[in-house]
Amino acid sequence: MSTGLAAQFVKRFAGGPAIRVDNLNTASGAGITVLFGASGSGKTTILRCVAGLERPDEGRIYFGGQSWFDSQCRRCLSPQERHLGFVPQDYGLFPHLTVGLNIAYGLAKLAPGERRQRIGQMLEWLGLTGLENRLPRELSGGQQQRVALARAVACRPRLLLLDEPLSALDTPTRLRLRGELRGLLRQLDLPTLLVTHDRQEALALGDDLIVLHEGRIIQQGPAAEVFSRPSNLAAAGILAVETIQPGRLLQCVDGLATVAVHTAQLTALAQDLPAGTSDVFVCIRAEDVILALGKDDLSSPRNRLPGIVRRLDREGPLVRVSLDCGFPLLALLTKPACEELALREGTVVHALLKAPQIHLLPRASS
Amino acid sequence: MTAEEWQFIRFTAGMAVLSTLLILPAGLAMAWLLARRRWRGKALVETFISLPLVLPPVVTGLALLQLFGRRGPFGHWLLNAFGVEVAFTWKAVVLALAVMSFPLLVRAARTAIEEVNPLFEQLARTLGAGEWRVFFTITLPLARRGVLAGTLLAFARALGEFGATVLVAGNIPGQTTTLSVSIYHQVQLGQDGRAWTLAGVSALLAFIAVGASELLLRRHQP
Repeated sequence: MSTGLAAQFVKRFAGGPAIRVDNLNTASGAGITVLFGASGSGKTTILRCVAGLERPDEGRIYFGGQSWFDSQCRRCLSPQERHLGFVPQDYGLFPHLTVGLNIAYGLAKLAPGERRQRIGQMLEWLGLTGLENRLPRELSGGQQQRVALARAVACRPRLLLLDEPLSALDTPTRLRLRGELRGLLRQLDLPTLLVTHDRQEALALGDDLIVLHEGRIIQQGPAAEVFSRPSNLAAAGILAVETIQPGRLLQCVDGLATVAVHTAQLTALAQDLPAGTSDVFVCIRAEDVILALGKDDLSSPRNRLPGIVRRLDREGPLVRVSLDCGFPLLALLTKPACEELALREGTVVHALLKAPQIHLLPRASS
Repeated sequence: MTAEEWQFIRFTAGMAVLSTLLILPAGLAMAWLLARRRWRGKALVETFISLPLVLPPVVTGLALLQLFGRRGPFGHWLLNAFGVEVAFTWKAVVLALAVMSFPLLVRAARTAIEEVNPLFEQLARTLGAGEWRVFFTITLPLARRGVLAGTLLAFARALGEFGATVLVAGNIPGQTTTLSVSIYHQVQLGQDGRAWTLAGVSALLAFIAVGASELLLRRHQP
C-alpha cells in the first residue's frame, strides 16, 4: 500500500452535482500535488473532505496506510486526529489573536519553553520577526499568507493542505509570492496538497498534477507530463497552452534569459524567475508564433527558429501548423496567410517569436 | 433614603447579579447547541425557552409557584431530599429572575455565535483543539460582543422583573421584596413620593448597567 494519500469517495450535494473521486493518489514522501480545475470543479470540497471538515457520503480516505475515513466500517477521524495543516483560501487567521498566538494555537501540547522556541523559529524562517504582537488585520496580504503557513506547519503536521494560497492577493504580489511560496514549500519537505485554478500556479508549484473537471479526476501524473501530454480533450482544454516544453536556463543577462530547448535555443524575459532557477518550462501560445520564409529580412523578434512544417490542420478560418524546430511547436495562422506562404507539409520556414511571448516557469529539477 | 430602602436596592442588585451568573453557563451552552448542532426536538426546546418572553409574567410566576411550591413536584422533592424551601424565599426571587431573563441571554448569544465564521472553528480543530478549547478560545471571544450585550440585557431584565417574582416569592420585606415589588407596594399605600425615589434608583441602576456595557464594548473593539 502506498504511504501517501489514497482516496476514493463520493460527496453529494442537495440539488448540485456530485463530487466523484475515483482514485486519488499522491506519492509517498514529500512533494507538492496540485489539484487543478476551474472554479466549481470540486477542488475545495475534495480538500475539505481530506481535512475532515466535510464527510463524504461513501468511499474511503487513507493516509500513510492509516484509515481516515471509511464508510463501510463507519470510521471518520476528526480533523484533530488527522494531524494536518490546513491553509484556507482567505487564510482564516484568528482575528482576535496576535501573530504569535495564531502560530502558537496548534502548539498547546508543547512545554512553554519549547513552544516559544518553535514560534521563534517560525517567525525567523518566514521573515516575520518583530510582527508577533500584531493583529492579523494589521498585516499585508503576503504577511497574512506567511502567518497562515506558519500556523499550519508549526506543529509539524503529516500533510499540508493549501486552498488557492495566492488567489487572495493582487496580481503583482501574486507573481512575486509565487516563487517565494514555492521555495518555502520545498524547504518544508512535507507531503502537500494544493488547490488552484491558475494554470501557471499549477505549473510553477506542482510536482504532480491532478486535473479535475466537473467533480471528476480526468488526469493525474507528474506535472510536466500532464501539461505536455493531456490525456484527453477536457484536460487539454483546461490546460490550454499549445506548446509547453521543458528547457534549461543557460544564462541570464540584462533581464534576458537564454534557454536551451532540446536542440534549439530561445531568448525570453527572465522576469518572475526566482534566483537560482535552472530548469524551466517554456510556454508558447500558438497565436504568438509568426512564420516567415526568407531568412535574410530584418525583423525585431529575438527568436528566429528554422523549422519544418510537419502537419497542417484547418480550424475554421485558421490553420494549425505543427512545426518541428528542434522541438514540437504549434502555430496558428489565418488561411490567407497560410496560402501566401504556400505552406505544405515539408516546407522549411522560420518561426519568429518575440521574447516577451515566451513564458518561462520554474520547474522542479529532475 | 431609609435603611429599608437601601436594603431593597442591595437585595435587588444582588439577586439580579446572582441570577445572571447562574444562567450564564446554561445560557451559553444552550445558545451553542441551538447555533451549532442539529438535534431532535430543537424547535420544541427553542419554543419552550422563549415562552417567558411572550407569556404574561404572572402566568410564568404561577407556573413556577405550582412547580416549586411545597406541594409542587420540584418543591416537594427539594424539601424532602435537601430540606430546601424555595417558594416565598430569596431562592424563589433568583428562580423567577433567572427564568424570565434566560430567553434574552440565549437569543442574543445564539445570534452572536451564529455570526462567527465556522471556518475559524474548523481551523482550530485541524490544529488539534477539542470542542471545549474551540469554544473558549475561538467561538466565545469572537462572539463576545453579542454575548456581553445579551448578558447585560438579561441583567437589566432581572433588575426590573415584577410579575413572576411577586407570585412565586411574594412581598416579604427584608426577605423577598425587590425594588419593583416595593414600588408597586408603595403606590398601593398611596406613598407616591417613596415610590418615585425607588423609581429613580431603578433608572440609575439601569443607566449604570448600560453605561458599563458601552464602556466594555468600546475597550474591546477590534
